[in-house]
Amino acid sequence: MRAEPKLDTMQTVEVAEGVDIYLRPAGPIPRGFAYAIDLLLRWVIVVVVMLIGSLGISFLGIETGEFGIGMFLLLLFVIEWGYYVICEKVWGRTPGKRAMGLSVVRTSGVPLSWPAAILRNLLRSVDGLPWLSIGPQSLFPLALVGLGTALFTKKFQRMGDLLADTVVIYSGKTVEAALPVLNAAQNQITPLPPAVALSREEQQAILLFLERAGLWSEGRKTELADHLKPLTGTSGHAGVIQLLRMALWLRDSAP
Amino acid sequence: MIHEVTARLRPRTGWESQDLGLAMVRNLLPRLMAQWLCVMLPLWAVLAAVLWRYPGWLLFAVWWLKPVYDRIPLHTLGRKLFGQETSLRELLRAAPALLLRGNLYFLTIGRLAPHRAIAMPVKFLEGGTLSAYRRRVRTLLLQGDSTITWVTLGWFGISVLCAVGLNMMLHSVIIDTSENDSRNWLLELFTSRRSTPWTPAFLRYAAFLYMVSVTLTEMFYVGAGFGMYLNSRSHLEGWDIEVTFRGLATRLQQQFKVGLMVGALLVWGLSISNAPAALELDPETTEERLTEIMAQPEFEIHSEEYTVYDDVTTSKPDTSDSSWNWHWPDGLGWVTDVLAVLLVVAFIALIVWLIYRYGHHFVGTRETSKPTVPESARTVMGLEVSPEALPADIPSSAWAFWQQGNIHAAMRLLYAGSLNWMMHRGGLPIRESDTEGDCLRHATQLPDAGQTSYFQFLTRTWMSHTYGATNPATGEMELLVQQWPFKK
Repeated sequence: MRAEPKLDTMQTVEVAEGVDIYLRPAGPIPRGFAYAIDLLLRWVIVVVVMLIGSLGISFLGIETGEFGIGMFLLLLFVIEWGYYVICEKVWGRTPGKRAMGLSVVRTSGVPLSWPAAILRNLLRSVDGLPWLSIGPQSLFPLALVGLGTALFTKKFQRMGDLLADTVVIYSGKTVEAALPVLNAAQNQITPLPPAVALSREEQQAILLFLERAGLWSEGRKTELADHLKPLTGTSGHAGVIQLLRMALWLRDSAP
Repeated sequence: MIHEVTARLRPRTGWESQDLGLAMVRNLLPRLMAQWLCVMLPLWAVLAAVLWRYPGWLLFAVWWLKPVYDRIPLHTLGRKLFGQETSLRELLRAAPALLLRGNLYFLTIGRLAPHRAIAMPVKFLEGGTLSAYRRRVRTLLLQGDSTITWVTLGWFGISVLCAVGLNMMLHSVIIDTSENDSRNWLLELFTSRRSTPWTPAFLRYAAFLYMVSVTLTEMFYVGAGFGMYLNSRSHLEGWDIEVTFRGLATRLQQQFKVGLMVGALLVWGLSISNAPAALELDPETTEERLTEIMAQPEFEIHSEEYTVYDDVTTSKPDTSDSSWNWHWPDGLGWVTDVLAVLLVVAFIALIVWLIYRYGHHFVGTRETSKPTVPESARTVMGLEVSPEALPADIPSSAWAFWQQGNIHAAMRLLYAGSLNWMMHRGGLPIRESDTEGDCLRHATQLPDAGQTSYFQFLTRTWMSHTYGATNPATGEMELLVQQWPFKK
């Protein structure tokens, strides 16, 4: 009945036979905010280093001249190009990405290699197109190229990601892990095997019902359980209890 | 059909859910874009003509009217989620209502709400009164309210950056290549290089750029909000669970119906020879039957649009599609209630009459017959257990299935056969609604302890086969066949 597979942003990667990991690629909006945070941070770093440097120089009373300007340009270069490459290679994420709960991995799920980290960040010059000049010698990326590529690839990859074979993923917890679980022992519910064979997906749904039942009002629980009248054989509160018993059975006693 | 949703619903973080919305839009982009252009180009042409002399207001209007534009992708996305395609023609027919009705709230009080992209699906896909709507939005926003603010800011930023970028491209491609300004029609129309910003020409040019930029970005923003709306419902109402539950219920009911139909045929003695076929009723066949039955015209999904529009300030839901019928329009509430009660009463009366008139044909097939007759159950847990449905020599038929590699049929036959014996020879009161656990409990009353322990072993094997997808080992199967204790 379902010809086309259901749409999902989650990507499955088979790392070994029968072992799957799930990558959750991140779209352009959280990444844009991560970029903004990193940009601010780099400006702050530049300003702080310059202040310290010039203070130190004036304190020592050294005449720097062209050497000072050279050092300044070198500093800019290192921060502009080194910041991303080093952060992403060493920690898998920049401070901005950390703040947004993101990190960078290869599409196979493994950490970045040096060439990949360098390549994906070199291509920021392309992804940042068109560049808007604000003030003298200062550019701001409108990043329409990167945005467009990310929107139209399945894993939200910009040009740099495509060429370096990398992907930006959500590295925070999935939601399920954070939800409270209904305390079955407190409610004195005994497990009950379901009356019919259930597919994996259906078993999963019944287990999720158990996991999340604590979040819903009594009315909503009843409403959901009433859909399964053919399975539980009852409705109303009794149906909810029956369903929770089956869920407990599936969780603890299923073969 | 709620269980036919076309996107994977699961609880996500706020950011992930807006990404799902983007993926939905990407999948539909050519159609969404065509629909958008067909509706928006004439609308903007009219707007530009009316406000040509007031270019500042034109720019403002293009921005302020965004909630109206959003109705178009939202309409198509909402229908697509439930597997309904919206053709260009259908959309154009719906467009006047989409553009003109029910938008007052979002064009006034709700225009600057940061959660507009979540609130719009609530209002236009669920309907309801204004206070009910406010309550719903508050509930839904418990999940991901700060994220939607950032998403709104983010997409507004992108639309502005996009307009600036377009401006740069136009300047580099068209304007700067022209040596003589007077020859450049675009420049003539929109701007003049020597003029300061905020001249009428510049504002017209900016409005035009913003139109292009909104065309490129707005539907992604709508999609992001729609994805977050779905996510909120998954979180707070277990929508993803509901979808699966409904699918499961439909499957079970269908199995039950097919079982009844086959049982009735057997009683009528029309198809004794078809009995093995009835036994072969595996899930694939059932699925096929289901597809066949659902394809019949009776099951076609009809949708109609109802428009209840009595007051502009409390604008009521204007569309009530069959796929979104959680809420009926308020004014018609009592009428539908009365109709529903009448229908139920009529239906019950019909059933009672049918049982009274034809009940004797079905003795033994349903629970309405006297429950004291244990032979009544013909299906238990969806298994055909009547003597007519089973071969004479169960263990050897099961062994034959096993050797053909049809493990499921072999296990099914053994289990159904033992149930049949226990009901008809052992005289145990097994009913249609009994579970494996119930049957096990009944089996303890068997006179022969060997039979009880055999049945316990069989049940374990059967359940790990059906629920755990673990096939019995050859040794276990041999044991089951050789030790078969349910002889005549």
